[in-house]
Amino acid sequence: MNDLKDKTDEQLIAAFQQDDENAFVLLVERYRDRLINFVYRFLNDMTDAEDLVQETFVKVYRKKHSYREIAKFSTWIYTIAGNLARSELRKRKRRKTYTMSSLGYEDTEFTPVDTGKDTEGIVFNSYAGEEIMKAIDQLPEPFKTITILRDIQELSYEDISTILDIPMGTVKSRVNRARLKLQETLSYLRE
Amino acid sequence: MQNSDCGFIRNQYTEFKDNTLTPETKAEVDTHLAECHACQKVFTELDQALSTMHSMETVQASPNFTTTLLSKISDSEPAGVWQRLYNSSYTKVAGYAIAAGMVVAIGLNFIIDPVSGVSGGNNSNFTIEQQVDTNNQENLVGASDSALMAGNDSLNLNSKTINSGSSTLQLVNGGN
Repeated sequence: MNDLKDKTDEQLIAAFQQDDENAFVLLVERYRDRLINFVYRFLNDMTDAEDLVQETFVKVYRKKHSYREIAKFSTWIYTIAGNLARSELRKRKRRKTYTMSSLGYEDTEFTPVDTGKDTEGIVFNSYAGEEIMKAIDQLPEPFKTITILRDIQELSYEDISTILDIPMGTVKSRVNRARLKLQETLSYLRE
Repeated sequence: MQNSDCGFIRNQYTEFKDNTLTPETKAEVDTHLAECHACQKVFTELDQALSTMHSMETVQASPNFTTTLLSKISDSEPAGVWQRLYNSSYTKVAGYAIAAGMVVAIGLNFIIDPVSGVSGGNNSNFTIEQQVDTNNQENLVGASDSALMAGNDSLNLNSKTINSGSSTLQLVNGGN
């Protein structure tokens, strides 16, 4: 196990493909927190995020032979987690639509929308993490994912290009557009 | 103030921060920012937002995350322990060792030269053939006669053994 600790992710997955389960455990230890942070930004729920990351590792365990060393291991595992997170978001959206449409007018309750406009206590010109998360959550889907990958997870343009399967030029332009949208949303939330 | 260049300048934000703009475009952005307070504000707010995002508090997996995961995997494995044993590298190494041993044993059987007198437990065919080659016709017939006297089982055994060399077989049969 100690020898394995010095190995790269790609060497570990290769060892796991040769049935070394210690290599798998090390990969879990290396990636669990990173992936939970990634998925948590999508789902905003720690229990769901942890369940989804567990599901990601179960997939890695069962599909270990589908990894080919043409891509970085990190890219592969982020792709799996990202796909699961997006699919979970879609499921939630459907559930939400169903719940809303199944409610009668009398059944609906008025819930004031928290726009975060109460800026008392927030130092002007510096953003609190919660405020930013609220803004990210309001971004349209492609911008939301790219912001999480680039500005929170700090992945390279190249990795994002592989994960999202879009050209690098598109990644760069989307990152910029996402940032400008985020700035607009933050300004709006503060007004 | 927001002029027609503002859109273009704001689109350069990421490359400006990554330092990947050409010197000419970078100079253009610098000049614009020095004059345009609206774009200055956007760039400053973006800098602050990015700085907050980079230092955002991280969440951590629960302490029993790995244990729960491994038991989840173990519970969902169809063949459980036997599958694990089958997959384990130790079992495979043991299997390879046994297979290699068998190959060596079989190989030795063929390599050992029967004429040299070295014989293993399964070399009876070679020994008897040697007897057939070196003895004359009468001896062979005699051998068969004595085998006949010893009973059918012995005869069958001898005939079967001699069958491995066809010319010798003819000779023995003719003798009988």
